[in-house]
Amino acid sequence: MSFFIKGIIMFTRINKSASAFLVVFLFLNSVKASELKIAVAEYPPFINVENGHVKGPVVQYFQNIFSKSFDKIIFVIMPSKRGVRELNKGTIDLFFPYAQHNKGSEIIGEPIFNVVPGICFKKANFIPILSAPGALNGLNIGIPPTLPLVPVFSRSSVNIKVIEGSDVLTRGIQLLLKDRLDGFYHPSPINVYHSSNPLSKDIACSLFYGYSEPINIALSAKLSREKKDKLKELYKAQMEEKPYEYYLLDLRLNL
Amino acid sequence: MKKVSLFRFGLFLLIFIMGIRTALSSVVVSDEDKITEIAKVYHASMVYIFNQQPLINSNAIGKKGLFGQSFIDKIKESYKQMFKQTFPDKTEKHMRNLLTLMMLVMEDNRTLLLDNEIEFKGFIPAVFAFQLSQKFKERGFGLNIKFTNFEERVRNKLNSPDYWEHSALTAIKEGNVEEVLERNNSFEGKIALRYMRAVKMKPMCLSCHGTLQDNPANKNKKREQWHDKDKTGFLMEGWTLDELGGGISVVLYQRNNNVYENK
Repeated sequence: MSFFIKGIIMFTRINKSASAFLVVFLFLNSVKASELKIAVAEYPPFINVENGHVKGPVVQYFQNIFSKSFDKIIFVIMPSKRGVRELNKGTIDLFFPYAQHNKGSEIIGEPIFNVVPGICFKKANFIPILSAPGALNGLNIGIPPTLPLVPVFSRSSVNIKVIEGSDVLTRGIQLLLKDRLDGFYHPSPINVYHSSNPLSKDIACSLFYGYSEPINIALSAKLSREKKDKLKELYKAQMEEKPYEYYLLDLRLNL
Repeated sequence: MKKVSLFRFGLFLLIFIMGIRTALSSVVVSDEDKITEIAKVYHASMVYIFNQQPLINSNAIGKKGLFGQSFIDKIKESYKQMFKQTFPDKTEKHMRNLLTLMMLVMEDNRTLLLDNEIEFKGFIPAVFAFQLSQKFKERGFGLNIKFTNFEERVRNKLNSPDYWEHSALTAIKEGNVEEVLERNNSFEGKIALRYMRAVKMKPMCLSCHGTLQDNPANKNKKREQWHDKDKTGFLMEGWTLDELGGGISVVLYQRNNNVYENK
């Protein structure tokens, strides 16, 4: 090792321009060799998984933000619960989507966007205004066990069916399609009722505006203070320059 | 020689007039003017959404006017027709956000608006206005906007008036005035400029808020067969033409101006 260092010293003495190059090279290498590991759960239409690859506007937005300071950005796919576990272990740097009700993890800044809960129906049974008096009376509505109910439920005479199981959201929609439910209360109907989902031919969702939930990006507790501050600073700057929703609007309208 | 002087004088005059025009157009718009313009544009957008109900609920292909820049252009037309004024400066920060968020609301509803299998989509002016208000609330741009009414007259309780809004509506109703504007008021602990603009009942409002006779579903039906609910499922209120149908409340506040924090 000492032989190697002596060699470098001798080399730089011989050639001063080479020494300057070496200093610059070593400096750049220390900065550029940074890596960011972002875990994401499938969250259509914002994040889609196709053949094991993550795609979608959120992925592109993250690339735009973080590629300014990170040499390599790695995306890994994992479900929410595991994402939170891995954040705590420090095997990933960021996790998206992180809903408010998860709690516990630090978030990068203001929410990237908000989602609105709602009820999905088969199209023939679609109810456009959910807050109309008695609109839900007598209906069998499936609900995920952990999702808080909006006040409309307490003002209506609804037959609530709590859906149990590991993939509650998929199961709820399946029960709806089989006519075993009149409606399914979904935390984020935009995940199912959007033009690129074939399910949108059979179902339509009506939303409870005014009860939106912020969707965040969570930070690993094991990140160094320096890296954490850098991530927060980059995100804040981007959100001030162009919030994600504005970016999405440009994409959709091809401005 | 005289011809050259005359030409120079003409040129000078032209430049002078152009300079004056530029200076006048770049005069800083006061907050009072901004807040009034925002309320008017919001109002114009609601009227446009009402007028587009047949298109919204149809399975027509030509719905371009509901999205993007075309949508904004239509709102401008609606504004000019309603207020007989040129459309305000759309580069001003709050106006730019308002127009962008309007496009965003329409995009959020694109799947529904283009869903040909749903006959009545429920995308009525009040729903559009509420979604737009929520966007401002979520983002905290220093501007809040809401279509409200007296507590007993709001259908969606989330649109209930706060104390200032109730007072402003009362002042409008009792004083028979069009608007109320107040500087140095408060909003959620921040110093704010507040504005309320009256929305009078127009023929278009009556199909939902009017008497049972105004309900299009009751047309050509015997009185005993009349529905007492409008197409959204709410009981019709029996309001009449030109009475106060609500108010557009706009708040301009400083994002970081928290009275108690500053102390």
